[in-house]
Amino acid sequence: MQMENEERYIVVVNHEEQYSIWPAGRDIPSGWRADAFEGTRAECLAHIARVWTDMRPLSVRHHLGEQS
Amino acid sequence: MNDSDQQHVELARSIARNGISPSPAASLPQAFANIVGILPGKIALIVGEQAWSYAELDRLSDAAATQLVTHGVARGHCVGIHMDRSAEAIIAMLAILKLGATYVPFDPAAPGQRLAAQADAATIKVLTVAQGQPAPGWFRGAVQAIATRSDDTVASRPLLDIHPLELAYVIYTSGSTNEAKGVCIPHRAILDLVTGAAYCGFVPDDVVYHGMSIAFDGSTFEIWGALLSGARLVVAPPRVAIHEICDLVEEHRISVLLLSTGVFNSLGRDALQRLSGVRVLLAGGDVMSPSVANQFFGAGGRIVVNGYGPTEVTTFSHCHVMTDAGSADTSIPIGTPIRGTAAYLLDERLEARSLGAEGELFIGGTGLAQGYLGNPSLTAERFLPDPFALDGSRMYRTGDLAVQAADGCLDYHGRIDTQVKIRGFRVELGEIESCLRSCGSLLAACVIHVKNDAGTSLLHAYCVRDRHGPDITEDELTVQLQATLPDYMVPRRIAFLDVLPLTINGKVDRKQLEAHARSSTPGDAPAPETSGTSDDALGNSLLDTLKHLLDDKRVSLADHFFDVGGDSLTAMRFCAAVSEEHNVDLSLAALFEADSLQEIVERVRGLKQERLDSPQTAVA
Repeated sequence: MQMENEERYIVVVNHEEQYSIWPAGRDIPSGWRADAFEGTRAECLAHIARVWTDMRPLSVRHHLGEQS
Repeated sequence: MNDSDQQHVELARSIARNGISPSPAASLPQAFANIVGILPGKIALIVGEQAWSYAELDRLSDAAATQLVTHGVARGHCVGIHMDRSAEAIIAMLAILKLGATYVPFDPAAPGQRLAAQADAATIKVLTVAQGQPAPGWFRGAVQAIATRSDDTVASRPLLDIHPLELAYVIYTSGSTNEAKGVCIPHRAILDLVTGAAYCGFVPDDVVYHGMSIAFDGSTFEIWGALLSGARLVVAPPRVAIHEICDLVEEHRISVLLLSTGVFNSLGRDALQRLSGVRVLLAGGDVMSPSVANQFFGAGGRIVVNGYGPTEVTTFSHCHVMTDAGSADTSIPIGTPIRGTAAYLLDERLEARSLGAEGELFIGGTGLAQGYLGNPSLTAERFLPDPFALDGSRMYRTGDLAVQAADGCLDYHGRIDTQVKIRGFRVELGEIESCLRSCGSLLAACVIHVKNDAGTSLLHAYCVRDRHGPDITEDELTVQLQATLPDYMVPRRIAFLDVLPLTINGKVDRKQLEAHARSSTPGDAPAPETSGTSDDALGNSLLDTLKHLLDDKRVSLADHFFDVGGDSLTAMRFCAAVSEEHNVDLSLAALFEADSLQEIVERVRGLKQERLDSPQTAVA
């Protein structure tokens, strides 16, 4: 458990502005970009809780914007 | 990416990635409208003696949608459905979806406190109930009654242009904390589950059985599988015993039957014979018994499907389709991914495991949930970048362990954490522990899951009392848990220890507690034999059956079925056993309504006598 807590992660985001975490130092999967936040797992998840305020995928937000 | 990485990718891909072809309709209302346009007069829904055509369902749901608008329901809102499975529930779902809103089913049998927390989390302002049913006491918002008949002329509603990723429903599952964990499912995930489903292939001639609770995502398969294919959906009444399922299957010529694996595994020879006419028999939720599957084929059954899938991947992500007895030997795999689904077995560093090695199952593709309602950090923790898809899509971390066999099928190897399945429901033991700790007067709590010889799941709680607090009793704790947890999550036995045993790593030694739970049936305590036995052979025989199912030797004829830990699955098994041993069909209702087990014995005695008296016996 201790080991896992010390492992470093980065916050990543995709084209739908969906957030996730990824082990630091590993290649970021294609289609994702780093969100300039690195920390422990818990720190990354806490950061995501602050910034990911609208969980609807970007394509849905655009679609609804066009509808109104 | 180096060569070895490339091989891993190929390996991971070889597990999965079936051809992803876009569904013809973008949303459930659009797919439903397509069917209404082609087959308006076809019977869509049957409840008891009543039937509704596709056009009628369309009209009634338009009327209900118009009523919901008057309460302010708009696109993107969550609207509750506080109902058992019924015509009203189907009409409410269609009405809510037609508004571009999201339905949230609530099981009326669940504790109000739990439902209230879920409704709060989903900011539910409007709740639908069946006409004539009272609104639940815990709800403070607007309540709309849903009617199943209406002579009013209704202006048909325009079809909204719903994006496939807008949400269709939110279903709550057990989480490791007290927080409500609402799984958000988009339209596309449901369309991909049921349209062009190779593992089942719904056709308009199908008659689909609807026996799942609407608060459980097995109902997604039943309801939308039928209604988006032009098939007929037959709604089972509440609390049906196995022989009543058989009656419905024969009466309505059911062709697609989904059972929870617990029920499937308790099907007797007679039931399997009676169900053998279905086109496809599916079971999901737990580990399927090969011998029951083989007996089904022996009885003339055609197709058995073992379905696997977490709620987060919309009912099924994997299916194993069997067509003859040879295909079910010692254990039944969870099979291969369904259309639109990718699956990977990974190690803790998220790297692909080699063929034949155990790994954690990750699932990608179009069946994925959007995430957990209002919980971005839990969503980010469980839905990770899919490193094999290369298109920015995500994969869901199931927490299940599996191994890929040489033929590509996956074998289920259990859980990585303390999540268990009880009566087909997913239960995080951590949630029960967290509830126990919040009861007060407890320093620590650990909940252990064991299965008895009869295959019945039992929960045991081990608690450490706070010496400075009041001496809370087992009964008091049980009452407190019943107020917040559904019946199947309340531990049958609660024991108090001075300290919880620990492993050398300082974690609670669950293995030691599991061993204790297995060995410590209440039979260890001197059983009150006097009240437990009688001179009546039938009474003793039924009592023995129940003791075996409950793994509890203290049961006596004076007890009430529920008080001794009976639940609906035990009830179905008990009725099936009675039918097998005594050749009479005891209804679940009779079992639930009886004040004592003695009354049930008398009921069975009466049924046996009726059978002897009946001239029809000769025919059977």
